[in-house]
Amino acid sequence: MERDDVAVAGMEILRPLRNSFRDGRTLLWILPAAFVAVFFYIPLAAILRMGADAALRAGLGAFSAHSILNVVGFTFFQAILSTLLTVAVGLPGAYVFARYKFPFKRLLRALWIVPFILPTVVVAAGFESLLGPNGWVNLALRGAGLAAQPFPFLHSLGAILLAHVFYNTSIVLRLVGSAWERLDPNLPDAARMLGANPWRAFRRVTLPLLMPSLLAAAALVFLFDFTSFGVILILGGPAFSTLEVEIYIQALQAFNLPAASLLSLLQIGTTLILVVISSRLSERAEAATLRVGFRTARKPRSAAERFSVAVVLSVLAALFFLPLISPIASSLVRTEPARGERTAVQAGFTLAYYQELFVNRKQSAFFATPIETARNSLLVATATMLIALALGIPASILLSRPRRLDRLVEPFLLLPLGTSAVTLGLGMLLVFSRPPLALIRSPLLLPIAHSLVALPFVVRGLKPALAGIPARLRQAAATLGASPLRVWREVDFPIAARAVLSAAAFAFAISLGEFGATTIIVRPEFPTMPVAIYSFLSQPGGLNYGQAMAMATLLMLLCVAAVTVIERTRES
Amino acid sequence: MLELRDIWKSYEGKPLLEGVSLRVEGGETVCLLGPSGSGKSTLLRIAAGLEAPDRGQVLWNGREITRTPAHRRGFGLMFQDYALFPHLNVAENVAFGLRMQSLPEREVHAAVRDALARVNLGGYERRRVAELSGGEQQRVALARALAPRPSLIMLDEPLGALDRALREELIGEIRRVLHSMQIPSVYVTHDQEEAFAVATRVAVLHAGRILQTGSPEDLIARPGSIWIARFLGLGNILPGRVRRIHPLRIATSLGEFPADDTVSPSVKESEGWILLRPGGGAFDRQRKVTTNGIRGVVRECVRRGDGYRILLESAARQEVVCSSPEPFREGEELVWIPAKGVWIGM
Repeated sequence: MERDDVAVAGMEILRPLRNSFRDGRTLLWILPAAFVAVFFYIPLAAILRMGADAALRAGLGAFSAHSILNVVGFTFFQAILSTLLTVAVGLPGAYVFARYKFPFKRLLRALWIVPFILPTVVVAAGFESLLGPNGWVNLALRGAGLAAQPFPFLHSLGAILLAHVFYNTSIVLRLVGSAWERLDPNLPDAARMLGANPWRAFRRVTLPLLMPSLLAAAALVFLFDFTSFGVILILGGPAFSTLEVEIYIQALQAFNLPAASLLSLLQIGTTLILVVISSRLSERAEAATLRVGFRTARKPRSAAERFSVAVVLSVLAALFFLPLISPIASSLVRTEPARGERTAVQAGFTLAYYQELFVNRKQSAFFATPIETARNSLLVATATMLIALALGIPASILLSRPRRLDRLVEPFLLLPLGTSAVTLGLGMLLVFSRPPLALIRSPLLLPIAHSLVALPFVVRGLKPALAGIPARLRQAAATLGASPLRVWREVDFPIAARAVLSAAAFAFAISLGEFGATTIIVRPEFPTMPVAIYSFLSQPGGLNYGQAMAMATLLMLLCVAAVTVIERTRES
Repeated sequence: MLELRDIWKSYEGKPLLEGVSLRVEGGETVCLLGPSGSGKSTLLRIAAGLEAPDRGQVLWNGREITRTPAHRRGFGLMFQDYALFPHLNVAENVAFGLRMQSLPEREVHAAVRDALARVNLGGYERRRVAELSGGEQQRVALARALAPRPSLIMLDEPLGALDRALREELIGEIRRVLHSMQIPSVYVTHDQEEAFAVATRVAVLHAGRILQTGSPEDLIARPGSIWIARFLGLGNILPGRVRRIHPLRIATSLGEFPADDTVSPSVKESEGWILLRPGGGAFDRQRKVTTNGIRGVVRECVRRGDGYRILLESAARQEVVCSSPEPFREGEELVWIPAKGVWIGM
């Protein structure tokens, strides 16, 4: 090839880049790309380097290859079990939602998002108040004289599985339920008419047709179970360690950063594979759309039908509501003595735990009154919301009308979604603890970390909303004399404003509940609500317990408020 | 023999079937004919065992099977829109019912081949059902329903989704297959041409009740009510009054017309309707005939089948439809002498 040809070929390759400079697309890219590069990819590289170092020079200290195998093994084991259980609970629910009409169906459907957005510490507190040594179930058992000692429901595999089922059942309900809704009910009927009993009709016709969506749901559930952190740390207790928890323990308790980095590498590698599998399966599930707009829900008719629907809905309702209601009840009722108290407990309604949040105690883990953590959380959440929007809006504008180059950038922007929060925190800890970017003491590091977690969700929410605006509207505005910026302000923004509001609420809620990255990089004098709840939960005594519940209730209410904003904007 | 006895069914408070009784004898093809919403599909699903009636009984050869589940009845049902299994290929779809009977694979293969050959789809075994045309899907559905040799076959609007030419072709095929297999069948449709083409007996269903049952000839010759006459599109229906009993003569606003004389004397002077069929009448271009005829101006003359359909407007601006083997000019004035009418009481 002649020199000139090479130059021409080079120009050809660079043309999209040049064009995109000309129309300002690159300008829009600069902020999100630089942000993700500095705060995600540099920390990621630090983990890679330290992890590779640890692996190659076997510098794992007290942490052996055998322990790694154990941790990896248990991580998979609990994730597989959780996924199977979640599918087993979700499948009948998906059927009932797809095929039957019942009272409050719309409301229940809207509530599916609640467990998804509820902070892990709140869920953990919920299960603690339900099943803990002083939880309602144990209180009832003792009250009924069925048990002298509290039954150790918690700090068990069962507690982990239950919390995971609580968290992820709505994924099965959503994905499989919508596929089931679109499944022509004549198909299983046709199987019946050809001599198949109901079970065979399900196994040979319904199940194969639901399989793409079922697999997609299971992959997503597995991904979440695999990277679950707070649930395992709090509800599993010291006996159970997954990759995610072990990274935290090695980094913060054993101060063995090489081991933590190596585990992070394993975690990143596995989750990347899982993300790829999961998105492939989701695409296939979407491609397997059976029939659009096929709605066949009807009221249950026979007594047997009514009974089964009632049972399924009761189980789901118990699963969804008990862990939410129980901490509220625990925050308002005194059931055990505070630390140091010897007197018999005067059980009953009390607001003491809420009042206590405003008191600065000497033995408190904090430097200030507990309620200040709420202020911290709100500040961080607001900052997160602003940063995530500042990054997410330009990125979504570009990705809603992507050119070739943009398509290449997208996976890099969304990769943080596939990276666990603890890994994110660890990477930041490695990079930002020392110059040149000693940000660890900066109040902005927390919102920055939260923004990385929230950014993929913001982009995912905004992109389709922006892409859905008909090009004709923009062209009409342009022919009427509006500049591109003006077009965006006059056409896109008013239409996309709802999606922006919804994304903002989502980012806000994510930040409020973020626990994994936070526990690693949080400054001790600036704790957030989840950190405070965790700290209350890990200390003994009725006062700490009550305060944990009071704080969890407050955090839950804040998140529910955010969810309400999201649902409101989505509905109309 | 299938027997439905006094079947009642309502859905969310809305009555769908109100006391329907029907018998289907061996070798007979009974057509359930009615407009959409008349309850015919519901009746079929009750016969199939996919729905339970609120009241009433389903009997097979005298034995009650009202509570027998669908898969133990041994009936076949061809669904509206076919309900072919999208995850299975053509052969697997047809084999489904045979596999449910746990037949040896070799027999299944042979039966599938036979079934596909019977509907002219030999060689289609490995095709995906989504690749098939509407007519091919219809044939696969028929083959699938018939392959397990059901003791009764039901067809729910089997030609509903197809275009006209294909329907004419397939209707003959269905009739041939049903007759050759000699099994009783129930055929649901809203199209009377389809019903008259395949049925040995037609039951007209309207608003959850069977209005009339009879051979196609019966129904055409004496529709039991004005609703049936209108639904079947039998022709002009004019309000009238019985003037004479022997021979029966009906007075209308367009004149007096003779009608079939099988009514009791008590109907003299009673009000009712007369059906004047478009066909079989005569035309008088000289306009000499004054009795038994309708004088009017040709408003429309459209080719229809072998002849012409003519819209005639009377002096009083009433329109009647008649058919003629030859065309007339629009605007031409003439007298139409319809064939003997049919008296339909109130």
